[in-house]
Amino acid sequence: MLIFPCLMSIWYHGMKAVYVLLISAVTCVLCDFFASIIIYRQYFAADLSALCTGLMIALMLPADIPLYVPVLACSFAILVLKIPFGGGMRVPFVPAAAGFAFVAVCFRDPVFTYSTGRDYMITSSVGSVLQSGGAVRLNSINFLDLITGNVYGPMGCGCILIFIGCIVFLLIRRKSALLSTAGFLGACLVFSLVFSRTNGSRFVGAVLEFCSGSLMFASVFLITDYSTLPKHKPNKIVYGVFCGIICMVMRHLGAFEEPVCFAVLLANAFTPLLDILTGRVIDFISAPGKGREVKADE
Amino acid sequence: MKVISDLLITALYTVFVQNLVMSSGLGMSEAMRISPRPNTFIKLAVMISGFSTVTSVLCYLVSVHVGGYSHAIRALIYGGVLTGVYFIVAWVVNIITGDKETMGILGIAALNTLVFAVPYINDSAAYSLADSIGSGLGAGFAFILAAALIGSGARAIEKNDRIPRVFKGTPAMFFYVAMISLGFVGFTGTQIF
Amino acid sequence: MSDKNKSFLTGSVLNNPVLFQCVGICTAVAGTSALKDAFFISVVLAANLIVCCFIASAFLKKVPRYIRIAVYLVIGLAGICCPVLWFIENRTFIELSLGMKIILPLTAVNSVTAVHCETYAVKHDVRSAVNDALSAALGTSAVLIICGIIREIIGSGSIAGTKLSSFRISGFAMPFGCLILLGFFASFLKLIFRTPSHRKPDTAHAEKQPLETDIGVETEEIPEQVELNIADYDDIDRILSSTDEFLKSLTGGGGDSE
Repeated sequence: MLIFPCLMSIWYHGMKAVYVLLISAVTCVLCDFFASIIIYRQYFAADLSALCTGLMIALMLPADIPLYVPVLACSFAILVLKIPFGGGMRVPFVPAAAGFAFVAVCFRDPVFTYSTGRDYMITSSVGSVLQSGGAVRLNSINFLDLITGNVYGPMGCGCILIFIGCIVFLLIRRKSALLSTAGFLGACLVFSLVFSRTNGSRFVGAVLEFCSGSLMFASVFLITDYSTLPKHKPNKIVYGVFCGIICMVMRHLGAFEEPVCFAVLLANAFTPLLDILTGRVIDFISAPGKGREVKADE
Repeated sequence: MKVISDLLITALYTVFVQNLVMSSGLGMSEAMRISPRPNTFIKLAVMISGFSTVTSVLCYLVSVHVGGYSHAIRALIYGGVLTGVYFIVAWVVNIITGDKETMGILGIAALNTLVFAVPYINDSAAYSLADSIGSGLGAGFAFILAAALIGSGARAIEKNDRIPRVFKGTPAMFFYVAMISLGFVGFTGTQIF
Repeated sequence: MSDKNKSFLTGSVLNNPVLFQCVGICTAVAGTSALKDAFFISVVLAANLIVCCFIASAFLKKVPRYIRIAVYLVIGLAGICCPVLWFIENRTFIELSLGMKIILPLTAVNSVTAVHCETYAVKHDVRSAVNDALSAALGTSAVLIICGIIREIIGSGSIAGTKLSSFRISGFAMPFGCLILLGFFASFLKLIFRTPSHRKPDTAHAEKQPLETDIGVETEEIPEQVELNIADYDDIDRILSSTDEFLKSLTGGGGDSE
């Protein structure tokens, strides 16, 4: 599924996008290879998770980013998160989210500065305009440009139509993962309607929120990461809702224009707690006649 | 009404937005060491909140008079306030229950970097009395939130049999807590101190 | 290696307070963003630890625990932290950031002192308590100073105030950066104390353990991890046991004064 945002980013940004995608993918794979050889004495070439991590990180960055930034982000994601926790399905946090969050903190200006040389009506990203409160400037944006990603923003996160297509694909192949996506998007929609950052129509404000930054990208690729999803189906919805609320609160109160990766990390941290609490509630409900059974700590 | 809203907003801010444990490491040792004992969380939350609140209020009242003094004198005064509050509470609890576990937890709850740092944070943020109370109340629950997250993560790490031997135990724990701390940076963007 | 040296090494490296006992993390995270800050913090913390352990072992064995803990705070604050802070504030050749003037008094309530005094000093004679305090202080100071050096170089692009380069990764100056460094330090220490001659294949992971999936994805092979024999260092198993034991010893066990 990642191939489609990659193709769109290359369509809009040309060779710059190719370089960023390539350097990210190669960094992730090389870090994974050498670390696996040193730690595990073997490397699983069929495990494409490192490649996916690299592509996801690249797609959330601007096309003009200095190349050391994706290198650092990918190295962080693999060497600090994937390898120490055993890789595969056991990593407790989404590596791509961690890598992006790391470089967003360390190199805030390069990560959130978008300048590709194209002529757009608005010379900054939708997210930064919403954050600065100058939403009236967004009246001149063409709706078609907005949903096709023909605006300033992360190089692979602009085309909403692609992500809607990805959601349809997930509906067919991985319905259970869509529970978290539904919770996330629902929470973001309600929050953006209630606490709109625009002065005009709330609906337009909600559309702008969805089309800004990496929100839709995260709903499809970060929230649905199988290794970090809760086990129980209701928890997946709660996880998505929680992530959506945190993301929107951070957009209003936080320090970053696009904080969805930070919200994903916090939601990942709550996942084990959620599973434990659900387990205890299920125990309590399943044995009402015998009184409350307290399950021993696992 | 404004007083109550200021208090609640500051408390929520201290718990979620600027979680003192995750944003600046205050009380992180205690949070990591208490995390395997979830049955003590409620007791600890109440005790830490209580000590933080009382110390915040007393230090706020005192700081009106010692604002111009050096940091050394201020530290002595804040430390003296905290010690006095702890002795009074410990003496009363010892007379009432004398329970060893409660007395042990009381010591951990009162004399830790988180409770001692709250008056300084209130000072540097120029909090009003209501804000100081809210900050004190929030400190305890911020601690418990951090301990709960760390504890649940520790259990998940323990079940993970794929962690390489060299990273098993405290290294993996440090990485896990680092990721939670990174998540909280999304609110503040910077550190407190 | 003599027993004395071995126990010293155990206390400072194998049983490092910050890296393996998970104490003193606040001072590491908040006080090591620069080398100068790390140096002052480690000196104050070491002095605090040694003095408190000495006094606890020599005079406080019969005192109830709930009074002892407060005595450590009083000794640390009035005897060490505040005089040092007073000295620094009145000497213009030493400048400390505002944050450090807050962090320095916090070392009076640091958990390194409380844990070592309560779990060791009050149960042993003065000489053993001071030796334990010295080894713990050395281990903690080493970690703090190394953290300070690395965080300042990478996070600020300078060392001891001298600019080295304009490139910096500011994340390492933040709390999560310090935690990541501590994780790598701990794993590095674990790595260098493995004995290569005792390596044998890890049979525990030899069987395939299918992972739970609900989408029919093929389970992945668990890589064969080499199990390394660290039986020579039994302390590590003790150190890495649940922190529940430490908490029990802190709250349930205790000196003869109880």
